Amino acid sequence: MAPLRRRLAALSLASAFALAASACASGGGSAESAEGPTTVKFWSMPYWIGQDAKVKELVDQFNASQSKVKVELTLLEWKDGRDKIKQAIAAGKGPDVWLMNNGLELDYLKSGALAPLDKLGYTKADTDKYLPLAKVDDHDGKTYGAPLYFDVDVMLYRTDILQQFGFSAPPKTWDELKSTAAAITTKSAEAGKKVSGWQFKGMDDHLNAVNSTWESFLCQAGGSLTSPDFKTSTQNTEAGRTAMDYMKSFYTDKVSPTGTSALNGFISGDVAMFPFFQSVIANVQAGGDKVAGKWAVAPMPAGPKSGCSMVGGHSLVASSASKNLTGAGTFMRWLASPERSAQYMDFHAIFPYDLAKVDPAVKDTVDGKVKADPNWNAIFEQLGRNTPDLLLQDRHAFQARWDAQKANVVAGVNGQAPVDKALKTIDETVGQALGKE
Amino acid sequence: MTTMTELPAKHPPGGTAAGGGRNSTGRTPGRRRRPSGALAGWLSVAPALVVILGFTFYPMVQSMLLSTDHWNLLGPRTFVGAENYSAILGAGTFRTSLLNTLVFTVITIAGTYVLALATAMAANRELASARFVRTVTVLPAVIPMVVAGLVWKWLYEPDHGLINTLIGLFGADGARWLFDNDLALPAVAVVSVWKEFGIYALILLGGLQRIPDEIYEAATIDRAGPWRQFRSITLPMLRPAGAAVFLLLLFNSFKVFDQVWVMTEGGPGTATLTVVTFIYTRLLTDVGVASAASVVLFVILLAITLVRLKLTSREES
Repeated sequence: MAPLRRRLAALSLASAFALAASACASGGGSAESAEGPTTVKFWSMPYWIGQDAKVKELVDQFNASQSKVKVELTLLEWKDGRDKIKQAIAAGKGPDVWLMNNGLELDYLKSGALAPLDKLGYTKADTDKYLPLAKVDDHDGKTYGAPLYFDVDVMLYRTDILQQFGFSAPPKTWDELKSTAAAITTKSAEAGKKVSGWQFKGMDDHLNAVNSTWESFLCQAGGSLTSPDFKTSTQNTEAGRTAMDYMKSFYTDKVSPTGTSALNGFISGDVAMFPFFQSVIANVQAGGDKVAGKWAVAPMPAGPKSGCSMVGGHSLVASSASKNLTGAGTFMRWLASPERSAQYMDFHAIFPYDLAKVDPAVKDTVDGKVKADPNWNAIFEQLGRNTPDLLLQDRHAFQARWDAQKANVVAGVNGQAPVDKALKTIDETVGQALGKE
Repeated sequence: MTTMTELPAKHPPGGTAAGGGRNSTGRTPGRRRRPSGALAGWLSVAPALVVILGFTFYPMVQSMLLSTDHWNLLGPRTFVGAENYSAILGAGTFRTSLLNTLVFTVITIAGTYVLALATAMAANRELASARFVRTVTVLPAVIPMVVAGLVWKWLYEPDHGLINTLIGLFGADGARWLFDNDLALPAVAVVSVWKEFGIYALILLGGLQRIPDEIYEAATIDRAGPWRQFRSITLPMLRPAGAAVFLLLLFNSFKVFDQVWVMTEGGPGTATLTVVTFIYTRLLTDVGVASAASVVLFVILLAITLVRLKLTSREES
């Protein structure tokens, strides 16, 4: 028996040492190599709608163009990609470079998990080329994200439906939007085929979208998400009530139906107008003949204070724990370069650089794309109305606000909770989270 | 050292390894215990023990420890005592998720039990159709819950979904189902009932088939009608199988997540936010709060299970 016991003990110890050894050997980040190209681990989601293979194609292009840096791509899915990255970073086994929402996440910034761009080989001349909106990636005086592209909330409208009911141009103000939408809903019902004049994205099958929709309308009413010091939630204000009352009126007046898909309805001709990030154009175009030549983009109808809207999009970030910051920076400057970002416009992504500061050849490319598609004019007009403020506020207590708005904006707008109570609950919930920061 | 193969030769005829050759203290004279037997026992349960300790007990203890910390996975872990518990129990969102879970559980248990029992009784007959019923009712259970959730999401679609289209044939307007705060939770619960009742019907069918026919024959001779037989024979004698079904339904209902996430993501508002959905949404941003919610869920389930076991043992005694 004794030999068996000894064998078992030895086996246990060997297993433990093997586990410990493997754990020690697989530390985070990729090491600099004395010989051959260094390896950069890049984890990404397919960041353009309907272009799942494009990221791999770009990484292959980069690898073919380089002899010193080799990128290993891990493609993740949107449904859990961000969770996997965070878990991997927490475990010290994360990537060197990955994709993050513009505005960046405060948890990463405060924990020092991200490397500032100046540690990645970016110069001031490099970062000065970005639009002022790129300040959404700043924190404590440093820039941590290299924007690949921006998204902005715009309005999509069916040109054929508006013309059918006597409107030659899209609405430009809240009042015009309400009257145009109401007229379409009423007249179409009288004609026997009801078309909803307007649907708020997020009050449909895309619940998460209510966050960007709400923040756009709050902004247009002159509201903000937090106080300037980011310590207090400021939605239960006159601006908040104005925005929510306005949105609610579409449902109480039966102009918009709760639940009808804004996107599907737009494609099928059951919804005349809806707001969302311009990247949704790819989904609209997937409607094929049903929508071909029958739609256009317009800036958001201006509210009582402004025509601003929510900003989105993605940036590249690098891990401060990476052992290959030089290689990571080389790859980031290539993938998020003006040359590449100009290509991304083919996927309806907004060019993040100041056209006056980029290479003339790149400027010509961008100008050519804008000329070829007049919708870019409306998108760039909307971009010019937006500031980094909303996204910088949104960074604080992000998850609490995301959940609280989803729950309370929907309830307030569909009339199942009083507007004051809905806004007060958002402020209380977000306020608690801000207090913990 | 004694080995397993030596033991039988030392036992008196008819004696056992446990009792043979022992003195009044129950110990083998001259020996405190038989280490080889104990070691063999430990070795045989070791794999299961390692799995249980490693994958059940350790995460549970870790979860309890984490529930007293503030941690977002990236920053430092800060001990905050019972703050996470007071935060979730004081916050409306967790209490709403708890209430939603209770409502979902009641609807699911009642709906599934009634449907499963009716199906089991229909299938517990010597008819050709009974075999068909047994097969058909189990079919939904083999569909992954995510797929079932997606299919039902389309069925519930307010404008072009099959359900409202059928209602429209009768000239009525269909409801907004998953977009209506009052109907969303029952609508999701219906999917769980539809998907799972077949499995529970099989368990109840097993219980029904253990009831001797003679009892029904005696009751028929005593002129007991079908309803009286159901109340006085079927239900009481089905109690062990019924108790198992109840506990399984209870655990599965409290852990509901897949169909909620696929169909509504907890919305509209918080109308379908269940406890596990609440935990999931906080898991990577506030591990302490998510862990505290997990501990609360564990305590609730443990309390219900203990009460149920107490009642069962009282009934048996």
